[in-house]
Amino acid sequence: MNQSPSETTPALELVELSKHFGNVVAVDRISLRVEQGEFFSLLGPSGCGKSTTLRMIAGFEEPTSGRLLLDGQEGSRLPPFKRNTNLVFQSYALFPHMTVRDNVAYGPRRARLSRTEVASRVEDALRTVRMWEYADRLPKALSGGQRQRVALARGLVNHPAVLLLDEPLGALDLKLRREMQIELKEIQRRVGISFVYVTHDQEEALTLSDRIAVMNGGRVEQLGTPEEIYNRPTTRFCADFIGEANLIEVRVGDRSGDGRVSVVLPGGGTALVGSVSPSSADSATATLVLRPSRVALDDKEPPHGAERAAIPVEVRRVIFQGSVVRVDLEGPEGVSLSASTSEADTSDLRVGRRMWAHWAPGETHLVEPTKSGTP
Amino acid sequence: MDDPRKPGDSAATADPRENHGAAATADPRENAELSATVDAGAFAMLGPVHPDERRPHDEIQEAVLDVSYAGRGNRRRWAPYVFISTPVGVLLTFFAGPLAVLAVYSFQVRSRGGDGSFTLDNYRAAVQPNILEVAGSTFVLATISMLILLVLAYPLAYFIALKVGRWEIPLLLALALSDELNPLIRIFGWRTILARNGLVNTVLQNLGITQAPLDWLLFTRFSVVLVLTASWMPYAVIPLYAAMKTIDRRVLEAASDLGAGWFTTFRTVILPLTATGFVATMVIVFIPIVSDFATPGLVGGTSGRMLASVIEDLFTRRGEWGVGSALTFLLLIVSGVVVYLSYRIARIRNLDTST
Ligand SMILES: Nc1ncnc2c1ncn2[C@@H]1O[C@H](COP(=O)(O)OP(=O)(O)OP(=O)(O)O)[C@@H](O)[C@H]1O
Ligand SMILES: [Mg+2]
Repeated sequence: MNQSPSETTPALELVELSKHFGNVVAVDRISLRVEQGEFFSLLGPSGCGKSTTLRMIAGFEEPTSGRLLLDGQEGSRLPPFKRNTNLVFQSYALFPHMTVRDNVAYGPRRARLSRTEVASRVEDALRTVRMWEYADRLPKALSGGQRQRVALARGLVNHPAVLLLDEPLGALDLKLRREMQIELKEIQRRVGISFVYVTHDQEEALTLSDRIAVMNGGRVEQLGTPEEIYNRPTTRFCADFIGEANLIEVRVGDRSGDGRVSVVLPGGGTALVGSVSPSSADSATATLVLRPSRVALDDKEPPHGAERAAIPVEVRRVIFQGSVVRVDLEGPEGVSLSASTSEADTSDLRVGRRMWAHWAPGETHLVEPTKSGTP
Repeated sequence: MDDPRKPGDSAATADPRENHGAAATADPRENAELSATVDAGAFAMLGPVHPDERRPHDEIQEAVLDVSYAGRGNRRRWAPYVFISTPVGVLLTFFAGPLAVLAVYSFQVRSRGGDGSFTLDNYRAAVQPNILEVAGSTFVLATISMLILLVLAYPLAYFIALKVGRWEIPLLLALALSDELNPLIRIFGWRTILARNGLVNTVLQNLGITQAPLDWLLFTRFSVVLVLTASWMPYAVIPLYAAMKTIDRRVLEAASDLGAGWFTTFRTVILPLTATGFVATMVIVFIPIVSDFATPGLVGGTSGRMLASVIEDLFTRRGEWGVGSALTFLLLIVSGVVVYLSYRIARIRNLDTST
């Protein structure tokens, strides 16, 4: 295991890294640093370039341009077997002719560890993913989720400096996935290796990560801690992709000197906003991001002002979602938004009922308007 | 074959499960061509079905049932045999037929114009020391050629299957085309290249690398191995290519990712995953090399003689059909044993990775 020369050398650093496949720009000038021992997630929709990024880090794709530093050293020319990284493949890529045990032992054996060391590490890794009972099976005799866990064990067992995981829990059921998430986080803390974790499940990313890079169309849209990403999305895409969000097109009103911005809501009311992303600075229209969980409903019009912003709405639909109830609403100018409430009694929320939706202005954010620009 | 039922019995009444075959016997189409083959049990589960209610889908089901229960009713029993009778007939006529003729010849006295009485002399003549010597050298030359072929074909198949990308199909076609060339023309081509005043010697002398022409280039074991290797290359590359093609590229990446260099990857992943194809390739290459008579005949001279050219000689020039037939049979038996052993080795080592 490489010891970092100093605390500040990142385990991995990408500088303006790009990958083109012919005309397809799979990864477009992304820059990021993964610190030693950090749990870093790449989050984004299908086809946004997550796997390609991982494959460049692992050494299977040569970057079209940009730099890739592994533990401070230029690494983009190193062959995969000389990199201190391991990849848990999205498609598992288990050796079909080897038992589960031999699959997991493959890496340690290449590292010329002693027999006993190999055996104990393999057992450890297989127990972690709850596959020890299956050690002597061939991959073809396993289910998809079981194969995925073996693939995970095969990567974990090596204790690399950076473990690259390409949707390693994608094939598991919700319960097992939750358990494995906790397990993964635990291992990552215990062993102290850096994780670069690819997922398109935003909840998973929020739960596990120290930091998240939200990717879209080959680019990093936002990079930050889960709290930052959830509470202060910088682009419309991030707001929409992470968690549920009401996106309301508004006109930007007063940009007062103290940094507080007010907007004109549909129906003509004005409201202050909590924060303004650079992407919406200086434009006349913008998108107001409002989380459904922050929206309260009331029969009476609440007092407007610095504490509360409100618009009149009509109940369109009430959807029971288990722990919460989602209420779809229609506001003035046909704007639709939803509120989610965990209140037990929602029997009085009849369709067609007129109410006021209100929220604390400090919990809203302004991002860029839609391309068409009609507020 | 030992079915007590007489042909002509209705399939439904002969069926031992007729007791719960109410639906089938109620079916008015029972005697019709197609539905006579409907399996009673399957439809009993569905309850009575009126013919008009049957959708085209059911017809397909019946057809499927017909095939899967082949051998139950009388017409069902014969259908598959009718299907395969043509290929079997062709094989028997053109493969087993000549063999049978050879078998008869090999046990006859002086097959051409002889009295045709039974003898083992042909076999005795076929195992004389000078022929056994050629047999030994045949085995050595064929094995060397096969090994060289495998060593060369493996990387070639690997690159075509997994590395060359869009050149994959053109390269395969080129390989297949190279085999389309008439073998005689190809062998004569080699002769002009390897001859005393051929291409290689001319170039070597013009470059001043050699002073006099090299004599060992042609009519030696070297030339036999060289031409055999070149001629049968497609037969080695194509099955290996097919075997490589079944390997998931990601699996090779995984090996590399886990610290295996290219040789380790080859030894621990590629070789085991292509083991079946490897054994198949050995057989596919070895048999035609052993039976190739044109190559040793045209570039082998006296030192590069092989069994197949001896057999050809016995048949075409010396008129010894009996001895030629006996030798052919011995060769066939040895080849059969080789094939069988290869098959057993592949099975015993449980290298079948087809799934
Ligand atoms: N070998 C390739 N040749 C051409 N295009 C490719 C290749 N590999 C990936 N791409 C393209 O690059 C883009 C990014 O692909 P990538 O596999 O990185 O997406 P992803 O974010 O991992 O998606 P998913 O969540 O579906 O796995 C896609 O548009 C894809 O079609
Ligand atoms: Mg992917």
